Amino acid sequence: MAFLQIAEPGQSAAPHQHRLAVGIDLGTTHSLVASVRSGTAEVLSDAAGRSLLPSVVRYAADGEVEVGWQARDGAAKDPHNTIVSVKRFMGRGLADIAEAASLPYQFIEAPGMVRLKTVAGELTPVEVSAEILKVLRQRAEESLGGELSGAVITVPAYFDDAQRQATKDAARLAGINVLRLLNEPTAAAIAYGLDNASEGIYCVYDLGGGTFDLSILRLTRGVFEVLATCGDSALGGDDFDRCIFNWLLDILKLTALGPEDSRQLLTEARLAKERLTDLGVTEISCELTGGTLVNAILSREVFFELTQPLIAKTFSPVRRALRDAGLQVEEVQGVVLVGGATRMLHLRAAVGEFFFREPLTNLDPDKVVALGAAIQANALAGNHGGDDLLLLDVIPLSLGLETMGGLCEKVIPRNSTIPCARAQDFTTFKDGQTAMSFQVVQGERELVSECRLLARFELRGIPPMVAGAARIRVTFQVDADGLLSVSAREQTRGVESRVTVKPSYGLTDAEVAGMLSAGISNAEYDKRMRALREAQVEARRLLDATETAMAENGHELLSKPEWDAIWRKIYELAEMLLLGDSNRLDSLRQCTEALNTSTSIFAGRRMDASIHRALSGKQIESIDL
Amino acid sequence: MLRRAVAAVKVSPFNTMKYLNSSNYFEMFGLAPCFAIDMQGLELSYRRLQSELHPDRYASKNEDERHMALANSTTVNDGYRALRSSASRAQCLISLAGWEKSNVALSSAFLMAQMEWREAIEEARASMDAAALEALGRRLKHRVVQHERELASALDERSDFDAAARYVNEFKFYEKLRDEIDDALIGLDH
Ligand SMILES: Nc1ncnc2c1ncn2[C@@H]1O[C@H](COP(=O)(O)OP(=O)(O)O)[C@@H](O)[C@H]1O
Ligand SMILES: [Mg+2]
Repeated sequence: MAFLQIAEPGQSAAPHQHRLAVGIDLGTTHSLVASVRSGTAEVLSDAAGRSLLPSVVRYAADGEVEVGWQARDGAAKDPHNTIVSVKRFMGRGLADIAEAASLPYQFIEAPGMVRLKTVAGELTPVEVSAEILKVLRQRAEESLGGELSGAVITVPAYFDDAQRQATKDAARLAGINVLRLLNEPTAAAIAYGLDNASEGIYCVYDLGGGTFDLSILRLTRGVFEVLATCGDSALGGDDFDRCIFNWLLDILKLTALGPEDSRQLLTEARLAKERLTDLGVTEISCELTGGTLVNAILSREVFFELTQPLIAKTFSPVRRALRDAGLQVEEVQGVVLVGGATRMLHLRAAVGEFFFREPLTNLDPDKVVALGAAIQANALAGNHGGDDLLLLDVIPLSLGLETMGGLCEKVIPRNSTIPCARAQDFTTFKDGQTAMSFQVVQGERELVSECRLLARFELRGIPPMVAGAARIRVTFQVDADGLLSVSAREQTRGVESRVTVKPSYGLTDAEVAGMLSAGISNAEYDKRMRALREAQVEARRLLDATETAMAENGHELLSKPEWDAIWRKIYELAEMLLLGDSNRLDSLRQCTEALNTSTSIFAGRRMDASIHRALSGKQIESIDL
Repeated sequence: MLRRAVAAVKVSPFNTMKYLNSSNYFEMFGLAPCFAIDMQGLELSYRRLQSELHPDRYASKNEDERHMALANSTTVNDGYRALRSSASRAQCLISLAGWEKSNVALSSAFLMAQMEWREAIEEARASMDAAALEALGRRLKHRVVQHERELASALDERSDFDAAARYVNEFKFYEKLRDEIDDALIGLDH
């Protein structure tokens, strides 16, 4: 050796050594791993030369775990122990999995996240996902010839806090250092943009097996700036399968299929759908358990007609994202198609028509997400060539807090660029109040009860003061992975409480999508509810204040009939409040107004009395009228 | 403007990693403190700052540096958001001038006009008239542009912070109207 190399302990002797970093697309249907080698991103294959890894894990009684193709082929034989599409359970509680009853798994309710009972014991979705990640990690280390220094893992853009956290935990369990969680459409844009040296406004349209994601980005010399993101987490290729399935039931007059037959027919439907991408007509034929033969011919025309409404459904989020980004459809320079389901011809045609341009499909829609993640991983690892890449992403759903009366106060609106922080000041509502509790929610609706609850926490030890005197500042911080942490602090004395939001339970993807669309179509309803809640808060405040005043000096300042009249109004209003029905908004307001009016004389006398008291004291000059 | 932005980055203390000072966003982006800023200059400067400070640049650094990157990148995003929108940019200038709130009450003429806007939107929504909503959107955009001109004149030419504060206050109503039109249009989508 020509030079003596001296290295500090724990420090590399070769500082410019290439760090092994990979991008992982942990998909619902398939997963992939990719890496940048000698300047180009490429997907890493298994020994048989296959790049896709089916996201299927099979547990055997002897402790053996099978992942991928073999597990998928064995799924029908051992459905209880073969976990398919585990991504749908990440960060979810049992109540959130609507289709749980129709799945062949034994779900177990557990705090935070559902568990699955298998021959290998009770497993969390995080553990199952970790098995997939372990296989990908091993594949990467074998083909790259060394230990991984880190990985970028992709998540759907609409993924909420719980799902992101669960994904990160799975990677840690698989012994992977997570450099960053990256939104799937953004990853696709990186791969596409860098490959084509594109500039301008681009849309990424990602339709996978069960989800639809849409992001609008501005590309400028290596800067990928997400302007808006939207999606429908209950729409994907599976829905097209279901259309064919229902059509089959209809034309063959099949009823009451058992779970096994349903599954078989759904698989046939999926295969027929995929064949129709290359063929004009296809035959569906199979034998059901009871010996019933299924035979049908499906043409492209019929398939297109059956599924056109599903395609139309994707344009609602597209329009919304355009609106959020403040853009006209003509300003979009290119549309990148991602996800296996975008292979369907009528979908491509519809997208082309909507955007007035041919969609871009020159990158393999299966691989583009993993390739983008690999490029980002290379940059994050500090390898050469990564320094001109900059990614500015956004949060998909608004984050907020519950305020008085169950209203949701938006603290960080959707599509805010991350990392970001926002603070909101609150005050105490009652005299001497020493604790205040907060509910952190995610969603677009104005009512807390219809948003997703992420966490609850309480700030205690607030020094007792009169109502409205304490100043409590609640700060939301969202980091570059899109993960939220919240802290609360009483400003005058500095009492502090800090929580990192670990969601207490999950919502289904459908619910997240539902929250998004409901946020719009129910705007009218929300407004009414909001007005009602506000009226209720107002009424309660007036009741409190009046009762306190009455107790204080009602007896000395009011005659008996006046005293009775006010109490009557108090009772009326209190009764009204208990009804809490949205049709009562007007009467509630009237009632509040009535109490207000009935107390005006009393209020005047109280004012006189306090001035009198003050003047009889010694602080005349400090009276502030 | 461009040169200023570049200079701000060059002389900045980022190389030694410090927490950014967020008290003057104009200074942070190397812009002269006025309402009529060069938007392209702002964007350019924003990307330059994020290129230096974004957490992605510190992904393989130690905990302290990563924390600092999170804070700084957050500050830059905050500042960018504040300067990009007319109302908040004007508010930044008013605060920088140390101007204290006095009378920012809305005129009754303004309030009357607001009522008319509301009614027009409500009517278009009720009759599911997307074209009418689009037209209202265009009219509103036009109104906002005029309003921005008035704001620019109040801040950049006359230093009339009273008037500016009133305009900022009025801006919030226009933003609300825009949201209402957008919501109504999206509602028609469903
Ligand atoms: N040739 C094809 N024609 C139509 N649909 C296809 C084709 N190939 C795959 N798909 C569909 O793509 C979906 C899976 O897409 P993918 O991007 O792998 O999903 P995910 O990202 O959710 O894992 C499935 O619904 C599958 O049927
Ligand atoms: Mg995918």
